Amino acid sequence: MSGNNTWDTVDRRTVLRAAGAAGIGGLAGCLGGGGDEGGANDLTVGVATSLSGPFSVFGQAALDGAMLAVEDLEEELGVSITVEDGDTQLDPQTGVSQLQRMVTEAEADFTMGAVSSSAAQAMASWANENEVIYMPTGAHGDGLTGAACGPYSFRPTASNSMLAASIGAEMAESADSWYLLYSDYAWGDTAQSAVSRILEEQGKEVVGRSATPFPADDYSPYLNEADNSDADGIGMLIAGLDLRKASNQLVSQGMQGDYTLAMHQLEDAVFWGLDRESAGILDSAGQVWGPAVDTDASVDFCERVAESSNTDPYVRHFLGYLSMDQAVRAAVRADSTNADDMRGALEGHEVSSMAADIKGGDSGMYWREGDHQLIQPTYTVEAMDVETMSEDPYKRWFQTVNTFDGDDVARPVSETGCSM
Amino acid sequence: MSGETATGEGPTEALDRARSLLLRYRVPVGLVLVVLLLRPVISHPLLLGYEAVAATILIWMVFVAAFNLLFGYAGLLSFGHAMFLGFGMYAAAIGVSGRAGAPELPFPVAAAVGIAVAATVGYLLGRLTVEKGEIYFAFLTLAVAQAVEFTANRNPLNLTGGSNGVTQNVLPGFVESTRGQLVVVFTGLEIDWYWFVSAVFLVAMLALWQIVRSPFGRSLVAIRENGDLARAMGINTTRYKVQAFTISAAFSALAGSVLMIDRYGASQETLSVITSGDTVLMAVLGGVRYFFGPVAGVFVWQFTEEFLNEFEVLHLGFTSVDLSGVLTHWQFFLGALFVVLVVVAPLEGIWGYLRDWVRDLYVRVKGVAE
Amino acid sequence: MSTTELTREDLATVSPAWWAAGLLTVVLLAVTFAVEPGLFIDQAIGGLVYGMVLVLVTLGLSLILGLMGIVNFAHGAFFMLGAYISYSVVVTLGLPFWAALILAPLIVGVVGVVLEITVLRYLYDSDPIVSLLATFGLTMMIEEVIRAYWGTAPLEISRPSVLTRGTDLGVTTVPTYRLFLVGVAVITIAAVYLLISRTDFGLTIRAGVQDGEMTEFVGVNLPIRFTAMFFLGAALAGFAGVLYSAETGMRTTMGETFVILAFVVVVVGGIGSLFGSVVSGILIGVSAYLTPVVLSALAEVTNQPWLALQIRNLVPYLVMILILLYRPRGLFGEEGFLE
Repeated sequence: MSGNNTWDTVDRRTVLRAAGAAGIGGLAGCLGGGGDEGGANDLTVGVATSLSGPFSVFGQAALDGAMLAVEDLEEELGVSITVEDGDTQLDPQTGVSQLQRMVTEAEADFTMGAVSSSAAQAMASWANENEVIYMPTGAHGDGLTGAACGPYSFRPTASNSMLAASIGAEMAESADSWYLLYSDYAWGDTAQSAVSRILEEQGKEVVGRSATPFPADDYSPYLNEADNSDADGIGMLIAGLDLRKASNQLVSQGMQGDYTLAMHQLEDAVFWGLDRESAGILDSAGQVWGPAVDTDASVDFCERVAESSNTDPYVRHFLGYLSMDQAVRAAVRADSTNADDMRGALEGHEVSSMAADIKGGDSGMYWREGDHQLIQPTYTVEAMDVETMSEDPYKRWFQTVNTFDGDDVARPVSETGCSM
Repeated sequence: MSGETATGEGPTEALDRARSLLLRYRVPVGLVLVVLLLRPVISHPLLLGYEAVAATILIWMVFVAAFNLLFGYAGLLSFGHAMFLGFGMYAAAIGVSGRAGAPELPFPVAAAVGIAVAATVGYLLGRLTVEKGEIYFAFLTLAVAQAVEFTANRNPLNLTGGSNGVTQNVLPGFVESTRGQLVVVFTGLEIDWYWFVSAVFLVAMLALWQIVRSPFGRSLVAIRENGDLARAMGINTTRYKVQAFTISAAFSALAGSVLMIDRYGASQETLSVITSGDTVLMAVLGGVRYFFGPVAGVFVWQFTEEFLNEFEVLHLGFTSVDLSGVLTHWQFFLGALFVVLVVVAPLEGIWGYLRDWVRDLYVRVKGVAE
Repeated sequence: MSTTELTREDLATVSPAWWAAGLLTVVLLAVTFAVEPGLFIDQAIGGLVYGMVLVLVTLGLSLILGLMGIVNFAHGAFFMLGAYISYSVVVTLGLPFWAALILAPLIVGVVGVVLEITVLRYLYDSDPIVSLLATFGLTMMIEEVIRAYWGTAPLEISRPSVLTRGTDLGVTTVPTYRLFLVGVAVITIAAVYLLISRTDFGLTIRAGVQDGEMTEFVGVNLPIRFTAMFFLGAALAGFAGVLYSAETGMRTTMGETFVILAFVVVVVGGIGSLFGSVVSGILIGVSAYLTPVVLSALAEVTNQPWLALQIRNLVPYLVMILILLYRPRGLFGEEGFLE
């Protein structure tokens, strides 16, 4: 995979194989083992994420973002970081195998990655069992900081329930009855229950819901169901680029004007495939981060991404950056890559690095001890006017409407179902 | 040669006896050699340099050999064998974790439940399908496997975990895992996971071997070769095929239950048609006519996948060639090899060629020696 | 290829069990219509349209299997290859969609010809299982070529703008593009039917499969005709791929998904019957859309909420299992063919 990166990373595996093939051999003993207590100057980080398949755009962007963090961290902290990457596809089992390979063979000190919440959940339970620090970089399913939480997994992005709480007020205001379409796996399932909970808390009704397979080609039977449900609004809780497909089919069935449409987790990249006029198809949308955040650090980061990555900056680049930043700093703070030491350095830690500046919002972010959720600000966004959308040096199509404090949108630990 | 034996010299006689013993027990000896050589070979830095795959490969060999009992010996091509692997995997995972109010079971009991379920499904499905004509049999098994995968995805009674699979608390008490190293703890003894899998591998493969060389196994071959003739000879062909299906399903589930520990849980992807397809590919690649065919097929397939996927630079001393771009597409080359094998002789596979080649070599060497 | 039609005798031989099943279906549909008329109409029409798309996707497979006895697993790969080539034609070359609709099938057809000459030609006399295995290997190769050349991330092209909106049919709105697909499917089916049943070409192929020596003896160049037939089958798959992916985009798993569905359609319809494939495609399309509605209506009427199972994607396989168990040759298949 390293061939696809803009950065010239030579992983240890390659070096070893090359050495072996050239007849030199005997390098195996020289490199430090994983999970050492002594020092954190030479770090090997395993990044296992979706580099092929429906989520490959997301996974590659996260990896690109992580490589930017490596650049910054090596310069600032004087550590040397080797990134061992691997492809999880969409598959929990492949994800687990990748983590196992990284830790046993490449001797990765700690790990991160995954886009799909199902894969992330399997990887987290492996990491917790095997005493390896793991950050599910891009997985938003509530289970990771709920029933499936564990001592060594730390989730850097916002959870579904945090994002749902962010758009809850807007949804309740715009329609009284809702139909929810949701991707049929861990992410969609918890999104669906988070959104339902938020709506019902405000006295609104969810009149029906359909679980749609992911990925799918044909959303029209589900759209027909929504169309016949007497709902005023449709929650489009559909993962990845499929949201675009579903939206296209919704438009071509003539349903666009009849409903309020909402999605708790908007990713800019999903909309770049639509024409600019259609980018505003969602009436309410939540967001973890995006080029809509206009702090200086954020604009700088976007420009760096625009230069170095194949895709324009969006949330996945930031999540990759954030994961690498937080994991490496924890190892350096603990001066150890031992899982328990790193855990101690993360729990309760308030983020003060560049990552916090890029994230924006005023409320700050910290690692909550009870469920290992990174409590952080969330946003609601809307499409800009077509004339004001910018393309150069990177696409900026959305602007923030509201910013929420992390503590206001996150459920208390007691309600998450997490016990460690 | 005949002249030599006639003279009745002592050392030659002993050699002959050793050779006939070896010939008679070549399968057990071969299996032990597989176990002893597999891990050192693949973990050699020149090859994979990564030993955790070795246990996984052994488990797959059991599974594909079980599949081949049905295809190679009984002539029935199942395109849905992943479901049987899945029954073993899910039963073991659900039983050990005791999720969703399921009774928490010791691993052997949970595995036995999975094997029983697989055997029952195999038996019933066999009753309905074995006489349907081979293409129809293939599609019926495929359809049923799709139905099983779909059911697991719907998470009935919260047992199967939907697309998450079952991944929490799935390691039985006697298995410990630290930073990716699995160890079996047995009455105070720590045994490497590989040796545990090896034991299961040897027991299962020897059992399969006994089955194929028993009168039952020979009847299967007779039915495959000429069903009408077999029927005329008074063999109840349907019953034999159903029994073969049942046994194959049971051994597949056994492999599945061990694979559950090896892969830390049960995953829905294991149930997919891709797994079933890979199974067919591996068996045919190795050679479905031979007991060692699946062993060879699984080894070549898994090894190629791991090796070529990661192979990046070829150093020839004087020059280096970057092959990473080409070799990540190992499936193309494996597919090509597969097509050639099928077109030339669909049942021989790699093992068949290897055998012929070794035999030729032997004859030639002997010729030179005389 | 027979184009069996239902005759009065056929109807007379239908067993009481089938009558009962038919009656039950009618009752269930009536109940559903009474409970949820709007959704019923939407899904019935949507399912009909989807069924025609399925028929289009299946056509090439049905021909190759029915006429030549080749179980062409690579059909899905041809389908996908057509889709990806259309991406290159439209996005890389900048040509209009209509150009892709002609160019991509031609290219896929040529790929089919190459494979027929190098591989499949040697398998006409073997067991159908062998052709299944060989084309399975070919599928692996073609899929890998696609992954290598186009990558694994989903791709998409923009459709001609006339077709991006909906058409109001009075009772329901259907995407205009799908209506276009239905039109194309009808024309394609008619053309293929005429080609194989009304022309010398179709008849000689059929004769050649039954008795190759005799057909060659009377002066027909069979190898060339078989190659041409395979060209047609592959091109039809590519054609369907272009049409289908214009709506849904290209994905590296689309081939495998659709080859299985296409086999289900052919097997349910009966191998060797073009008419059977058309009926079964529509049957499967409509039942996939309607079954969940029927179940939810049933749940409402009987007050048993657990009945409202979401089994849409399971329906094609259930239909196939039922049909094969009770009528192994499929709805309109010839008796004894591959049985």
